[in-house]
Amino acid sequence: MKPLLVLDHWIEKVAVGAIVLLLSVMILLAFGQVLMRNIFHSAFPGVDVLLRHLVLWVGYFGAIIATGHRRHLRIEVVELVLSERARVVCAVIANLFAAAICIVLLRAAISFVHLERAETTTTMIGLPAWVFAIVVPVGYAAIGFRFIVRAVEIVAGSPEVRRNAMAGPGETRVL
Amino acid sequence: MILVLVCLGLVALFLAGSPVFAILGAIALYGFASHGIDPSTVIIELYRLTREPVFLAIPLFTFAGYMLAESKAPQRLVALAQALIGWLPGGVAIVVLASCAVFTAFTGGSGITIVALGGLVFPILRAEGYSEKFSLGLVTSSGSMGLLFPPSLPIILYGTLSGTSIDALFRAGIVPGTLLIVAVALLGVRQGARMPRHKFDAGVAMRAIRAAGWEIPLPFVVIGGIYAGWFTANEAAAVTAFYTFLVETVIRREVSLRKGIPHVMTESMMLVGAVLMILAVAMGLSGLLIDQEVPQRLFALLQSAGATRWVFLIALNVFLLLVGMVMEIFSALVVVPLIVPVAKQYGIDPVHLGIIFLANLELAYVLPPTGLNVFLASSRFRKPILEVGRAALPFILILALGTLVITYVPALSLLFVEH
Repeated sequence: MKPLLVLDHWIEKVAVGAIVLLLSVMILLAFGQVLMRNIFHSAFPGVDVLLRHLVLWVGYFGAIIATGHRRHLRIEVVELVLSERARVVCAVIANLFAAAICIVLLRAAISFVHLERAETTTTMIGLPAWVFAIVVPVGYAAIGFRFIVRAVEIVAGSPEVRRNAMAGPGETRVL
Repeated sequence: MILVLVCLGLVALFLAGSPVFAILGAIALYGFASHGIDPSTVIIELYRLTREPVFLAIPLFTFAGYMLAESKAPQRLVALAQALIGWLPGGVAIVVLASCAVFTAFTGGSGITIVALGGLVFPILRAEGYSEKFSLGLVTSSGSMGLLFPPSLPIILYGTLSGTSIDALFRAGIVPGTLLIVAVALLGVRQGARMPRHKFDAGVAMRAIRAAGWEIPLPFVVIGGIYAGWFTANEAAAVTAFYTFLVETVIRREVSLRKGIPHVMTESMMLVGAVLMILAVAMGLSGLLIDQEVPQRLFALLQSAGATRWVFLIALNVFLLLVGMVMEIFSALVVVPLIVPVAKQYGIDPVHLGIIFLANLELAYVLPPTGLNVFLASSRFRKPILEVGRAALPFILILALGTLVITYVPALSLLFVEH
């Protein structure tokens, strides 16, 4: 179990770093673009497209972190009436189901990237455009992995780890 | 038979607490597979998001909202509102409503308002002499006020999913959004009329204005800029994100660069990520629905059942309230691509439909026992859900009335929208 947790931890660190870097770049570039457009009546070519791709990047990295903090949107009303045992079973099933869907989406995303690679000829900041699509398979792989780690934590973790891996009502929806 | 089993299984998984995106993803993948379409189509559909200009506004506005929540802007906002409108009869209740509305508009209705502002305004209401029941009901219902004003994230998502102009939607929200606030404010005025009035103090007002000086331009830039047509939603988002970053870190130094900024960025992008996961599969699902002409079939079904436009609207109200009660807004918006084409056939303007959606979901938030605000207020103020529900009842009734008016009088929404 230890190596799984270490990897899980590192995935989160990388995702946080990527978000801080990319979001800062986005804020500066987007503001720069507004200045260019309104003061100089021109714009950096290609920046708008680049920015929209970066939304996908910060979004997937955000979703990767959200998986570790039980922040994916779901209903939690039923949990309130379940016994502790039933809640554990439900949480394991829910996490494994989410992981399974991520794996199917991962396969779909890989074949999508192959398609893009075969078709696109355009470039963004000197890179072929399909490179920017890589975040989709990478995202689903990491998210799926983290759902599996949550399930493992619930089954094999100490009581504290288990409590952390299972969302309490209300916790997933707010700060 | 298999279809029934799959549906039952998904409902069970949903109730067991599976993430909404996994359930919707399973439906989309199953739908594509059963029609012999390659699953990578789901990803193709989601990648279309990178061609939606307003896509960029989502992370930028969310970041700005979390930034404001992390700084002391909420305290300054409440102090300012108190100094400026606290002297009105029921002034403090109006202060609570107005601050919550501004805050919800900026933080996108994810329930942060009750958490960040609830604890701040509840004691103020009680100290003024408002009953516990009234205060609890007011704070619970205020938590979703402001969803109809820019830069509300749910409006942007509705626009993205329905292909409607965001700027038009923002303009359409002015009158209905104000109507709902005024309706609830009247309840506050009725309560407050019995209480001693405050005097307007020019000195206090000037101090509050000066204290909030850096934040005051924000609503004007965003709301005014979009309404007046100076800015697109995207440009407003870029300016707001950059400006709040600059003000709260460099000028006010309330959010530190080393610790505060990474925290705010991760917190806000977790919400964006959770929403993106749902949006991603919702795009695939909507592509499938339109491809299979499901909306047309639904319309034909409704017609053969003799449903007129009014019946459709009533059914829509009930449906949205139910959906909004069990899910939060972001997941509830998934039904948009299914409903918009049907509503069009009934001659309902997609812009008006957007306002109907948001108004109903705003109301659904306050509905016990599972509305998000009831839930949050119950845990925030440590009160049983039923007690919160009972306290919110007068507010629910008045919001329901407002929602009905908004639904059946399209002119309210379409007043400032050019065609």
